[in-house]
Formats: sequence, structure tokens, C-alpha cells
Amino acid sequence: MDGRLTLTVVTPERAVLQSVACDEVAVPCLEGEIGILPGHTPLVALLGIGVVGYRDGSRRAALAVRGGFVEISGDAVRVLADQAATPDAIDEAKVSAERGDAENRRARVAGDEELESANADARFAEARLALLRPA
Amino acid sequence: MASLIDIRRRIRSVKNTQQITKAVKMVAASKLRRSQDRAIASRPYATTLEATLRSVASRVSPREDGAPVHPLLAMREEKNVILVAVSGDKGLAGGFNTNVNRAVAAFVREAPGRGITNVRLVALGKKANDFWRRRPVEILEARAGLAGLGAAATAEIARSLAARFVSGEADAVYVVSNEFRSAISQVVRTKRLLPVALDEAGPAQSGVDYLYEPSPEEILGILLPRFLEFQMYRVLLESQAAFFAAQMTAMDSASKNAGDMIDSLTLTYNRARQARITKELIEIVSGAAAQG
Repeated sequence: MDGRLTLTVVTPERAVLQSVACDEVAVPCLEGEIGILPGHTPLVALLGIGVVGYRDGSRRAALAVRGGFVEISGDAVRVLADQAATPDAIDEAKVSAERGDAENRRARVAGDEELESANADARFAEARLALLRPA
Repeated sequence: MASLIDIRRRIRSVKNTQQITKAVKMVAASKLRRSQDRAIASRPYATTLEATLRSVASRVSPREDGAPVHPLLAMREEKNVILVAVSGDKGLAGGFNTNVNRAVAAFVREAPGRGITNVRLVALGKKANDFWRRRPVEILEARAGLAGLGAAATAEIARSLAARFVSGEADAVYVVSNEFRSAISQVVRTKRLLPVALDEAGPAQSGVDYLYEPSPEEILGILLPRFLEFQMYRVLLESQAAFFAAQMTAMDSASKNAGDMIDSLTLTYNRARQARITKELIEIVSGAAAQG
């Protein structure tokens, strides 16, 4: 334990981050965001939709994730997301359109399931757009 | 002996064939590279998911009534079985599709001996569809155009299988697919998809006492379907990679065979040409001799 975290973010399709060293990680879980510092207790938690932020010294970076889970053991933080997007891979116009589409669907859906999926789509689009705006 | 023109025509036609096989081989080689990369890219996810799933499952205490902790783990006597056949959409790949169909046929044939009363098929890939449509096996679902399927679309297939399993419509789900060993070797394997087998992968290696949020039961309830979806995705990725590998190998040997054929035809052609020239010379010489 050198007092640093290593963050790994993978999706079924690719590894987004591979053992990146950092000092602090914030992960959106189903029951709220959790902040992780070195020496965190081992944890398995389900992932919500939102922004994973991490800090390495004074350098900060973030990416949007959707669904999956996070596992913390020792100083390794592993995020297994269904989908993930880094800021450089986000096409603002396209994601805006996705958000608009999801909101349209939300307005005129029939069942709970559809409503949920429209909501989730909208929130994932929102999370990605949030990345593009400087904090 | 065939006439010169006939032989020339054959040579030209074989050359055309060779051009096609060569082109298909090149395309397959580049696609193989890409699908291999995709398969490798999914590996870190696979290892973490499996490890976590196992440690979560080991933490879920068994129910008192002996029922499985999750419906996807329910072991029942196998009577109604769904078989997922994963083939390719195209041919020109040697034994790739035939091997799958043959393995499916073997499974169906041996089913009664294992106490299975009913085998139904989910045919993935155009070749399995075409083959089984004309045979007396009930097809539940048929899908073609697998090449571009992402994780989301394969998840949908997995979900429909899970629904059938949970509802009791099927007691087990098996999948027959080509496994990618290397660029020159693919093996058809039949493995069980449902009920999900966690123990086979080895004992839980959870030395760490994890905190779970929400409870292990709930996490298991979410991870298991995801694990299934992901397995389906991997099976299709591997089958893709194996398909291109098989196609590359098959087309490589087809190109070689065409080359051999062209060589031997060219030899015959030259011999025939030589023979004709000789014959013409003899005719001229003997004609001149007769006149003189």
C-alpha cells in the first residue's frame, strides 16, 4: 500500500481506464455518490448513472458511466460499467439530440418500464453533457 | 484431349476464382484482427465480473427451504431444453457452419438418452437458420446479421433466454458455438448457459470481507442477469473471431489449390499447344514431300 488508489474502468466492449493512479475517486452509486480515499474498506456497490471523478495531485478528470458496479479492494478501485464515455469521446450535438429524444419519450410513454428507460437515457445524456461544461 | 480454347477458358475461370478467394482471405484477415481485439478488450471486464460474482454468491446465505438463492441458479431436471446454435452469416469458411450444425444434430439425437424430452432451437446466424428451417426441430427464435451486434443487442437475446428459463418454459439452456483457439484452430463446444454455474469456475476466493451496498442478495440479483448477458456477448464475439479465422484458413488453402490447378492446366495447355505445332509442322513437311 503506497497510499495511492488505482482506478480501472471497464465496459464489456473495452477498457476505458487501466490502473490509473490517483489520490481520490468519486463514484455515483445507486444510493448516492461515494467518495473513495486510500485505505477505503472493501466494498461492492451498484453503480448508478452519473459522473466518475478522480483526482491525481492537482489534476482532475472525469468520465460518465451508466449501470454496473464498483468494487473496492485494497487500493484498487474497479468500476464495471455497462456504458462509459470520456469527455474527448463525446459528441455534444449527438448527445444533446439523444437527450431531447429521451425527454420526448418521457413525455409520452405508457408503461413504467419505458418511463424508466427514458429517464435513464436522459440522465446518461445529462451526465455526459455535464462533463463538457467546465466545473 | 480438350481443345486449346477449352483449356484456356478453364484457366481463366480458375484465375477468377482465385482472385475471389484471395480477396475474401484478405478481408477476413483484417476483420479477424478487429474481432480479436474486441475479444481481448472484453477480457478485463470478464475477470472482474466473475470474481465479484463469485464472492457475492459465497456471501449470500442459502435459503432455509433449500430453494436456490436466485432463480437463474435453479437446478431442475432437464426435460425441456433450449439450444442456442451460433453460426455465421456467410459461408466460404470451411467447416465452420457445418460443425455447428453437426454438433446441434448430435445434441438433438442424444437428447432422449439423457432424459430430455424436448429440444428447441434458437438459431443465431443465417447459416444455422437456413439449415434448421427445413428440419423437424422447433425454432424458437431466429436471428441473422450478427456481425455488427453490440453488447446491447446480445443482452436482449440473453434476457429472452433468461425469461424463458425463469418461467419454467425451459429447464436448461445450452449453447453450441465455435470457440476461438488460434488463427488456425477453432473448436465447436457445447456448454451450459443456464442455470448459471458458479461453482465450476472454482471455489470462491474471497479472502476479503466486503461491504455490500445494497445487500449481497440484491447485488446478486443484478449481477447474475448481467453475467448471463455478458456471457452471451462473449460467445458471439468468440464465434465472430473464429469465423474470420476459419474463413481466412479456408480461403488461403482455396487460393493455394487454385494456384496448383492453374499450374497443372497451364502445363496441359502448353503440351497441347506443342502437340498441335508439331502436328502442323508434320502436315506441312509431309505435304511438301508429297508434292516434290
